[in-house]
Amino acid sequence: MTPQEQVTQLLVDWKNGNKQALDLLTPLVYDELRRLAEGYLRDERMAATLQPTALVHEAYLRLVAQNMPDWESRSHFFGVAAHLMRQILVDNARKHRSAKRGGGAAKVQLDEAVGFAPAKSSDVIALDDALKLLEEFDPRKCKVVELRFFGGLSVEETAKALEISVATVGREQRMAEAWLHREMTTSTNPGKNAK
Amino acid sequence: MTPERWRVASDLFEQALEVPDAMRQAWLDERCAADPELESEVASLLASHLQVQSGFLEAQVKGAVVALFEGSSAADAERRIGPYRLIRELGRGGMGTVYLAERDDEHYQSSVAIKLIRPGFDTDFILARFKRERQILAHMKHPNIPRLLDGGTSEDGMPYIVMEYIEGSWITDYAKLYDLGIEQRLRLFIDVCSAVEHAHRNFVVHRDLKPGNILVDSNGVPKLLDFGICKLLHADPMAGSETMAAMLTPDYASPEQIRGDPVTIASDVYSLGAVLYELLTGTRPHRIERFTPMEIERAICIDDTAQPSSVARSPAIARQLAGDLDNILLRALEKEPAARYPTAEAFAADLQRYLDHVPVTARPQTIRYRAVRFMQRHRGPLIGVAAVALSLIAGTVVSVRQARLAEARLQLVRGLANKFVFEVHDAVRPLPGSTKARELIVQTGLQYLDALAAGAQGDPDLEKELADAYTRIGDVQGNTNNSNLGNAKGALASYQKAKSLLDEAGKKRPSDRKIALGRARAAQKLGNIAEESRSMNEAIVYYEQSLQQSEPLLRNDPDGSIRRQASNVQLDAARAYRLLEQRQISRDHAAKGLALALEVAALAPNDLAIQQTVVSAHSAVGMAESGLGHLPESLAEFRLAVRTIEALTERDPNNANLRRGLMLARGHVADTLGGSQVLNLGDTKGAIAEYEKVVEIGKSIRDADPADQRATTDYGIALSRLAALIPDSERARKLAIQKQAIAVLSEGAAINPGNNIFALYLAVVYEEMGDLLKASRDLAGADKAWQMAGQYAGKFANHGLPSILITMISSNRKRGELAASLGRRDQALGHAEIALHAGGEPKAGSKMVWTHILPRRAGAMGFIYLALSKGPAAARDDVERASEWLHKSAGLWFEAKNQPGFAPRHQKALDEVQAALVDVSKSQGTTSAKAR
Repeated sequence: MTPQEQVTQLLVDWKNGNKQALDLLTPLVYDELRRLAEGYLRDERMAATLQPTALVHEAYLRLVAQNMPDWESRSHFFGVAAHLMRQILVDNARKHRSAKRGGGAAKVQLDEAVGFAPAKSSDVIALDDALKLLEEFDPRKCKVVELRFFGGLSVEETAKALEISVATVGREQRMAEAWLHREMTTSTNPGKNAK
Repeated sequence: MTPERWRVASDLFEQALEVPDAMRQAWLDERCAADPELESEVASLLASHLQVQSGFLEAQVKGAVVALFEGSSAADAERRIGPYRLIRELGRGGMGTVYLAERDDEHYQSSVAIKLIRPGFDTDFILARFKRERQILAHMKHPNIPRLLDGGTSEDGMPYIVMEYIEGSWITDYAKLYDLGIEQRLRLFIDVCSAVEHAHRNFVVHRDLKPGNILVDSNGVPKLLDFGICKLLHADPMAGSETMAAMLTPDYASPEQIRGDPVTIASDVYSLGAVLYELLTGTRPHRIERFTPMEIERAICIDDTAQPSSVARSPAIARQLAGDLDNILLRALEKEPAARYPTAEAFAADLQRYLDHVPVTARPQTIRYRAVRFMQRHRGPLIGVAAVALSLIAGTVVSVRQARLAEARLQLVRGLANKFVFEVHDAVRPLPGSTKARELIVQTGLQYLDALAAGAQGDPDLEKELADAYTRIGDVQGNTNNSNLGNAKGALASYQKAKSLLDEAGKKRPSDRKIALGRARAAQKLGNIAEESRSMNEAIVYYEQSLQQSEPLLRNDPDGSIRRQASNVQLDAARAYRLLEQRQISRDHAAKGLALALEVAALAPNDLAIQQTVVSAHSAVGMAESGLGHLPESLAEFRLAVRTIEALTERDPNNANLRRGLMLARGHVADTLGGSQVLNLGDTKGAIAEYEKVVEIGKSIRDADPADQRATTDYGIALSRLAALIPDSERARKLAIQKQAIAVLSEGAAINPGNNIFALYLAVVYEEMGDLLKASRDLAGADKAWQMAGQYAGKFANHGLPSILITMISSNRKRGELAASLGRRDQALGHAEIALHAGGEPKAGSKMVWTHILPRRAGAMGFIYLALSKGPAAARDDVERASEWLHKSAGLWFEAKNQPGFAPRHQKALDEVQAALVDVSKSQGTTSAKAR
């Protein structure tokens, strides 16, 4: 069976209530995401255009058979992939920060040719913490952020996946952004205001 | 906050945004008069909303993606699990990763294999399965199954399994490597059967027997690995067989596994048969051409297995297989479980009988039985095969009917070749360990293509199509961006084939744009490959060809795609010429590339990629101009690069990559004005002003993420460059910046002591600081600073970096001269010794270029003796010694002068030695005069 057919089958199984299917799906999606990203990063020119959202879409195209039965399964896939992407990024950012602090020695000099090599880390951990907090009292906003930014769905697709209107997605995102921004930029204990 | 209150706050937030700015506060006051807490919540959200810049969340996520994949494997390498240190990854399965690890405690050191659950995969299901594998292994005690050594739970709560580490090759590779005969192969295999039998007796079915799970160790003992998906024969809640089937390797799976029927020990017997089949014939028992469920099911469950002797690699092997071994294998591979050997032991026993020349129990299937089954299945296709055969035989007689048949055949092969290369390859690529399969796919694809190409003459459409396929294969073979097969030679051949096909097609259709563009692309790819293998002249030929192809198309290029392509080739060519030091030509190409990029940028003003090409093009022109000595022109281009990228950063201020790009571009400007480069405009003030901006950007990037190593490096280097530029007369300022640079660089060095770039720059800054302190008569301070310089440089003296050795030598020389002037003779000579032996003895084959090091080492001795001779602790023969060493140094410099790479700074060093020699000869004169 091709990976595509495996993934498609697993999505269908999962939708039909087979919980193990998700466990089997996870490594396949993870590998594909990782492989795609590595491909991008090997080429500086491509690294400049790297977007996690594009990765998820590309993974979808590669992993899910094109005769994918229905929209519902497709949105399932993006739900899984987006959440997985978030989990992967955060786990690794944590590990990166605590354990090694730059094992890949920087061979960079100031006089290298003008390039667009990517920066090393971001505050995805803070974002994740804030999202967890948000999820406690407003899971839908959290889901919108996850699908939009970790899963790369458009506003329309997000609306369809969550069965809400396009306008609602826009509002949810706007407020979630304001809230997350505040949580992540105030130096006080995150979430104090919200509780 | 309760969900209800949050809802109220959300509604107020939304409504408030509809209210005009000026009235918002009043509006909010009114709504929340009774609830100041609510008001402050909403107000702070509104304030935050106004601050949020677009792309705020994207930036967070994107940065993390990049961080994730940079050096993430290095993180694992440094890990420890319990008392074990992970050395490297050995392999990766669906949910586990196997590492080579070492246990090093006081008593012994040994290599083991550790299997871990991959981070993020610790679901209950996988944890349970992992623990089960551990239990199963604990029960197995067999010479052909790796021993379970240890197991436990790591500090972060993940279970792990420690197994005997088997260093060896897959059984099929091993047999090939040692060119084993049939009998030796059978004996190996019988051991494998005995391991499987052992598992069966422990009520375990392996379910994934394949060559990839059977290693032969260095003593020639086969070992059966990976009980990851095995099944316990008694009650097993985990056995969800359908989803399990998704994880199998179909080539060795039994028909009942493919169908999702119950799996028994007979399934392992079948898989053993499939492994032996491959071990003896070199091919797998089933030809699976497309990895679709239907195709797999057809191949494994319906098609007859070919007689092993009929697919053997040589007639000699075929003769050995014919008869008993054919019968034994076909019995193990029976579709019906009940018709196979009942146990692995029975299978092995029959093989043993064969080896002992005793009659075997397997009987041949009758020919009639086979023929009947064949006819039943192939009635339709058989007629088709006959027709194709007929058209081949009667190929010379052209009839409409046959032409159609031939056309149909061509289409068939075409479709197959495409499918093979494009779909099958892509489908297997993500599978771990698929490299071999992909190689095979590429090879087979090439065979089809070659066959088609041979008959393609005269049909430009087919030639174009074939060229596309060859290009695609070339990408697969050589493209370093994909998980590639690392076959530059193969890629070269494929691109060449693509090119010559396109050349042919181009002759017939000279005005076909697609063909011409294809030719231009193929030539560029050939050029890139040549460049990678350092054949610059060849690369240039290809780039020129490519440009020649696209040239006539440039005039009719409404969407800019041809100019975009040509612009990139122009820059490729500019780079290649620059490396060949053909500066004028390099400049011309860079300028043309720039002009084209600007045209395209005008067409697509929002296209980031083309803007980046514009920046690269400006920089390329700048570098070429600088090489020509046209510093003002060079400066102008670097400034344009700065301006372009500055505009981009304004559009996207949070984009750290762009800001770094801006910093580097400004660095170019600064160095041209008056940096450390030999050739510069001498505008130190301008350079300082520019570097101040570089420092500012560097600081802001670093402050945005203090954990970012590279940002720290950039910032530290920028500070050290700035410090170097500031004139000694501004002593306080210079010293302050030096200290700042040292602080930043030390921070980086503390986090990552193995990174020599920090040490390199620290050594340089400390040396300069010492020079500055010496000039202001702070002798103790100077000595201390030079000491630090020597220490940092000394740490990496063996790393093959000339600049670090030079710093080590010069800082010791300076300390030696200082000590000499203070009358500390022993100390001075100590430093002289260190300088003389810096970097150790030049070894044959070492990468270090010693040409410019050796004269410096000798020179340091000479200068220190000279200083001694003038100091309070002078000895009689100091002048003599100084003269000897300085002569030696000058001689080495003269040798270096005859070799490439002798730069003005080396001349300066030689001049210094010669001046000292004059000085020495004067002293000698006075000494001999005194003596007289």
